[in-house]
This record gives sequence, structure tokens and C-alpha cells, in this order.
Amino acid sequence: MAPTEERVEGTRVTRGVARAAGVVGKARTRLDRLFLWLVGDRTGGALFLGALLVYALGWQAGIVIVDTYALANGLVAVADGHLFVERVAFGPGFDTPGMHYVDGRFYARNYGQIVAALPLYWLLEGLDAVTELRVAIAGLWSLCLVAFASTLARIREDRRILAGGAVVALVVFLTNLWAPTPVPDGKSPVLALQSLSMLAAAFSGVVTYRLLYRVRTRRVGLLGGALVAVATPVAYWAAIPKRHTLTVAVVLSVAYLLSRSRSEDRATPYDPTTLRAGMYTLVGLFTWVHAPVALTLFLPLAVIDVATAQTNTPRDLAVVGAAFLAALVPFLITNYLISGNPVAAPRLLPNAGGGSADAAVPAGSFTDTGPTTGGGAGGGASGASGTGSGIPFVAPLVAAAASLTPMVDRVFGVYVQGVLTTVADPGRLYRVGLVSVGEVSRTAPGSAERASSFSMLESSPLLGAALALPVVLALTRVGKLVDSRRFSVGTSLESWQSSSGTAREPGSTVQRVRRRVSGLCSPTDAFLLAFSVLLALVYLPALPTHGQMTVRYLTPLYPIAVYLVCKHGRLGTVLASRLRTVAYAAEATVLLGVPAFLAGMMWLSLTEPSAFDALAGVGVVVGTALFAATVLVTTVGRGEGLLAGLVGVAAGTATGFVLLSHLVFFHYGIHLLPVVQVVTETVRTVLVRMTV
Amino acid sequence: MVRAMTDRAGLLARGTVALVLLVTVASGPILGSVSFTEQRVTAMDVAPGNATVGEIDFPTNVTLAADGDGRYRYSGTPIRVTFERITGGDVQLTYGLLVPALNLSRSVTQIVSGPTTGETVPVEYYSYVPGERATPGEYEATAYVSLVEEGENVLVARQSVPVEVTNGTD
Repeated sequence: MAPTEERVEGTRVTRGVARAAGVVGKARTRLDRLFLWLVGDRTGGALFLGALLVYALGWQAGIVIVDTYALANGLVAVADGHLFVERVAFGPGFDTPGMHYVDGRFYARNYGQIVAALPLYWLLEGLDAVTELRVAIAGLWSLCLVAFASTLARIREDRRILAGGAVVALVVFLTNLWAPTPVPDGKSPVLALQSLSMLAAAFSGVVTYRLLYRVRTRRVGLLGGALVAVATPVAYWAAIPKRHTLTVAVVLSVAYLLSRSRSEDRATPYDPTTLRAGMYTLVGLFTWVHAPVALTLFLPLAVIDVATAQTNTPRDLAVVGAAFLAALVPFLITNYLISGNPVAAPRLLPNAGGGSADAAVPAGSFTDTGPTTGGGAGGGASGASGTGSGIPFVAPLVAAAASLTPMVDRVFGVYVQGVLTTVADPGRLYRVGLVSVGEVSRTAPGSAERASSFSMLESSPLLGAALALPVVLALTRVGKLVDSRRFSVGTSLESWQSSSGTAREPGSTVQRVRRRVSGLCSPTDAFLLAFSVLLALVYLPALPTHGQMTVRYLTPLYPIAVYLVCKHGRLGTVLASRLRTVAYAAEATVLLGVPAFLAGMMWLSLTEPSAFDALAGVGVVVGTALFAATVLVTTVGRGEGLLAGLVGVAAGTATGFVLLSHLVFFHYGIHLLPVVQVVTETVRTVLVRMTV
Repeated sequence: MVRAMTDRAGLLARGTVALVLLVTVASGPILGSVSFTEQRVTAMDVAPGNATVGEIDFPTNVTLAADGDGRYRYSGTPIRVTFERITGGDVQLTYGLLVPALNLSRSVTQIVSGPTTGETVPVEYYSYVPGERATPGEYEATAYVSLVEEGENVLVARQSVPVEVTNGTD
């Protein structure tokens, strides 16, 4: 080749490289923009990445709850190009819970979740084809850590964070390369479902952050987002491929869009109708995952949205309605292809292996039962589904509610039955919400079964602060009323008005009432509260169950509680001003508490069920202390540091519970991060040798 | 000084990313000869051993007597698993019963000590199991035996088992 030709060739290569670099640069910029659009800002990004880093520690390549077999086999089927399950890639057979039998074919359920996991499945299959998957996942974790450190470094304007993060990422990656075993063949469907669940969980924290940032401050948002991401059962269910984290992400996203569409506290550049269409689209799409919960989401949303929208012109309603109907199309088509009936979701169809799920709109979801391995977390169907009526007229009313026409029963009867059942047996609120041990011992003899059921407070002691919220708000209101009576002259009504900080308001009575109500509770709050009540009513008749494991059916209630605590009363502001105290207390609780707990287990030769009982007890004690401290400190106005520390301890207790569960107690497959595998193997081996 | 730190941090981060990507790609078939994984013998949990399972006695019939409170008293013929050989250490044996009509899925796990040969192990199942209400009668169930070996739950055998559900007063 002549020198001139060489130069020309060199120039072409240089241009080619430059062009490729340009394409990569543009793609990266677009990805960055998309990421920022989703997470809001760098703080949201750090929250998202940090949560993923934590969840991956408990990520195991396996199935812990038997109805996940149906989902995984369903994903294999959809990847093969059809809805019916043709081959059993996971589990002992076709007749596992969650599988349905129609016209000689087996079908899974939650097809929306399956389809959402499909791109991740393809991604993992692609990675598996060009890399060793175990190494690739370890690499992704380290890259995630570098990205996390980079984001933090930009936020704090301290590049040392980036350097430190890069070093740790490198060391962990190289350590992970120390003889990792390969991921067993054919696990990609399960890994994809798990990845989707983890992404949804991390996104839930981000949405909480964005929601609270809109209505309060960035620090309050950060606090709420972090608590939701790692100190509630959202973290517990992150690496377990069920629908719960997806449900939480959708509920919070709808609440966020509702908040933006109302311009609560902060203006939004988006057209309110577009935002409203967005939230109905989410609800419509969620019917494809779990129709009963989607309905429970739709009912309060429709009422509150229409009642509080700035405008409800025919155009607005047409756009919103069209978006909702369009989002229902995948659900309707899927149902039609399966059973010929577009409104009959798979979970309403006969269960595989006999038995009909026809009578169970909500109860269909109780077929998710315990793990197939390990005796520590058994599962079962509803253990206390009777009404337990102690009031004479309630039982006939329950029977009457249950005998309503099927369609009305499906739509409203379930809520009515929830009310009546709760009225008949209010004690179940205590057993589900506060202390579970007694009830579960009674209904499920056998220590191994007892271990798997936690009440809500036992699962997340932060709920102690949420329980204190009504008390705090009431005391605050009474205090203001007393003050106003002391210093003002006039009727009690005028005193009340002055205590609310409002003079005689202009406008009609309806407008004044509307303003007064909106002063107490925003449309977003009203929606979240109404949804919480309805969801509880759906599931309370069948709770507590043996395998409820953090009362998983009510998982959305945890982030909603955190949101309300951070938004209302003084607690959110108090904690936001003492974020360091909260963080240090949480870290100390995890770093000292978890090893101390394990040492205690060994010292006392505690079996796994006894250890779970002890953990539940710790949750109740910490939650109760937090309740008392919240009431005292926020009303008296002293001891804020102590309260912040206690919130940190509560958060650390919940995180410790999650870590102990996923790293020590539940073992259903290899940990995807080899370093974690080695650590957990060692801990478990030592524990078993010392307690057996 | 700060600029030097900044440069070093960026360089370190880029170097880490490049190394991670390079090693990840090298672990796959593209570069061929580099293998980062191996089938190692581990102290996996309590089940480092490998087992060869022989005959399995599934229960020939199972009776579930409703006991109220959403649970059933379990009775059935003995369940036995014969291990022809266990090498390397203990293994973790799981026996499970699925009764879809009752939404019942219960498994029990036990450690079988190894190494050993020709050992028959009785499985101790629960006395009570939780389940949804069902009309008394005969139902189909699936019983299965699985083993955890190196962290993987391997299904060894499954069998259809008739289950008779009674109301508890029969």
C-alpha cells in the first residue's frame, strides 16, 4: 500500500472510530436522560442504584414459593411464543399452585408480570450466550457500585467518593472471580422475574422520594425513599419474584401522577389531562398482573380524581377513558385467548389438578404457599378465614353478602365481606397488624410453621410511628384549639377557624368545605388512604395465614405508611433535620445487631423458628417504643435526637430482618454474588453445627 | 492536589469499568480459552454431599381429617427414602405434598448424614397441615422428594398420591 493510500485508509479508520464514539456518546446521553426522567434527579438515581446493590446481596437463583413455578413456566411458554404451558421447566409438574387448566391446556397467571419480565429474560439469555452469566452478574454489581459512587460524588462534589467506590467495586469483583460456580442451566426465567421484582422495588423507593420531594423537601423525600427501599418488606420481597413489589411501584406511581396532575404544592410542566391519562394507563395495565388489586386501585382513584380534578370537560374524560380502555386491551385479549371470555382473568379459572377458584376473587391469590425446600417457611392457605362471629346478626349478613349475584359479589361483595368480617372479629386487626405469634401458634402447630408468619409491626417496626400519627395529629389539633381559646375571644367555631389559621373564607359553603378538607388531606393522601382501607378489606377475611411472611398481601401499606409519616405531623421534618442520626443508628443496628443476633442464636442454641420468634419480639418492642417516643417527642417538642435514633434503630431492625432472612435463614439456590455465597455458606454451616 | 485527586478518581473509575467489562467478555465463548468458573467442592450449607437415591416409598394413601381452624390432621403410610450411597458429607432431603384442591403445599426438610451406603431414612411428616376447606372425598395429590446438592434443589422423584379428605368426625 502506497503512503498516500495508507494515509487515506488511516483517515477513514479515524473517522469511523470518531463516528462510533459519537454514536456511543449519543446513546449514552439518551440513556442518561431516560434514567434521569425516571428517577427525577441524581439523588433519585443514587437511591435507585443503592437499593439495587442491597437487593442483589440476597439474590438467589431459585424459587422459594411454589406458585412461582407457574410464573416461571409461564415465562418459558411466552418466550416460546404461546400462552399455554407446554413444558414444565420448573417444579414438580403442571399441577402446582397458580397454574390453571382450561380446555386441556395449562395456563399460568399474572401475564402482565410475565410479559414485563420478557425483555429481561432476553437480556439474560443474551448475556448467557456471550459471557459466563455468574461473572456477568458480578460485573454488573460492580458497575452498579461505580455508578452509585459516581452519582454520590457528583451530589456531594467530592471525587474521593468515586475513587473509594471504584476501589471497592474492583476488589469485590476480583474477589467474586475466586472460583465461582456457574449459574445452573435454564435459570434465566427465574432470574428475569427476580430482576423485574428488584427493579420495581428500587423504583418504589425512588417514587416515594419524588412524591415527598414534591410536597415537602428533598431531605424528607430522601428519608422516605430510603426507608421504603431498605427498611420495609419491599426490600424483603425484592428478590422474590412475586407481584408484590410491582404492585407497590404501580400504586406509588399512580399516587405520584395524581399529585402532579393536581399541582399539589408545586407546579408541573405537564398537562394535567396527560398525567391523568398516565395514571389510568398504569391501572389498566396492572389488571394484566392482578385484576382484583387493579380494581381496588381503580375505585378510589376514579372517585377522587373526578371529584378533585381542576376540569372534567368531555375532552378530558374522553382522553382519560380512552387511555384506560387502551391499557385494558392486553388483559382482555389474553383472557379471550385463554378462555374465550375477555373479562375472566386466569385466576378465576379452574386450578390445575382440580378445584375451582371461581368463588375467590381475592382468595385466588392465597394459593401462593410456602417454599418447597427448607422447613423454615412453610406456607398454606388461609388459616383463619372464618368470620369467628361473636355478634349474632353478623354471620347471616356475611352469608347474605356472599350470596350476592356473582358479578356484584366480585366487584363489591368482597369489600362488604371484609367490613363484616372485621366487625365480627376485630381481634384479627391486632393479629395481622401488631402481634402474630399467638394466633399462628394456635392455627398452625409445629415450630417450623410458626416461624414464617410475621405481623406488620413485627416485619417493620417503623409502623410504630405510623400508628402514632393519628394520635399526634389529634393532640396537635387539641393543643391549637386550647391555645386559640386562651388567646382569642369569640365563639368556639371562630376559635376553631382561627386555630386553623384561616379567616372567614370567601365562597360558597361547598367551596369552603372543600378547601377545609383539602387542607387536612390532599387528593393523593385521600387516594392512598382509601386504597389502603379497601385493600385491607379485600384480604383481612383470610388473614392471618401461616405463610403470610410480613403479611405480603398488604405490602403496599408499608410505603404508604412511611409516606404519611414523613408528610404529616412534625416527624418527617424532625427526622429530615437529623438524617445523619437516623442513618448512623440504622447502620449501627445492622452492623452490630445482626452479628449480635447470630451470636445469641449460637449461644442459646436457638432453632430457626425460635430465632424468628425472637426477631418478631424485637420488632414489637422497637415498634412500641417508637410509637411512644413519636407521641411524646412530637407533642412535647424535646428529645428529637432520641427519636431520630429510635427511627434509625427501627429501620435497622427491619433491614436486619431482611438480611437475616435472605442471607441466613432462607436458602433456596446459589447466591448470584459468589462472595455472598461464601459468607452465607460459612455462617449457615457454623450455625447448623452449633445448634444441631 | 484536588485536580490530581479528581483525575485519579476518574481514571480509577474508568479503569475499573474497563477491567470489569473486559473480564466479563473474556469469561464468555468469544475469547474462548478463559474460564473463570469451576465446579468446586464446597461446604455448601449442610449439604456438601452427593447422593445416589434408590427406592422411595411414597405413601400409598393419605388421610386428611379436617380439624377446624383451616387445618387437617395428617395420617398416611410411612414415607421412606433409601440412599444407595452418600459421598462427600451430609445431604439435605426434602419431602413435599401438594394437594391443589386444598391449596395445600407442605414440605419437610431433614439432614441425612453422610457418607453412608444402603441407608433407608424414614421421613417424619407433619401431624397437622394447613389447608382450605374442601368437601370430604378423594382428591389427587402429588408427593415429591428432592435433594439439595450444592445449593441446588434437584427433584429426585414425584408420584401421584390419593388423598382422602374427611370432616374429622368420621
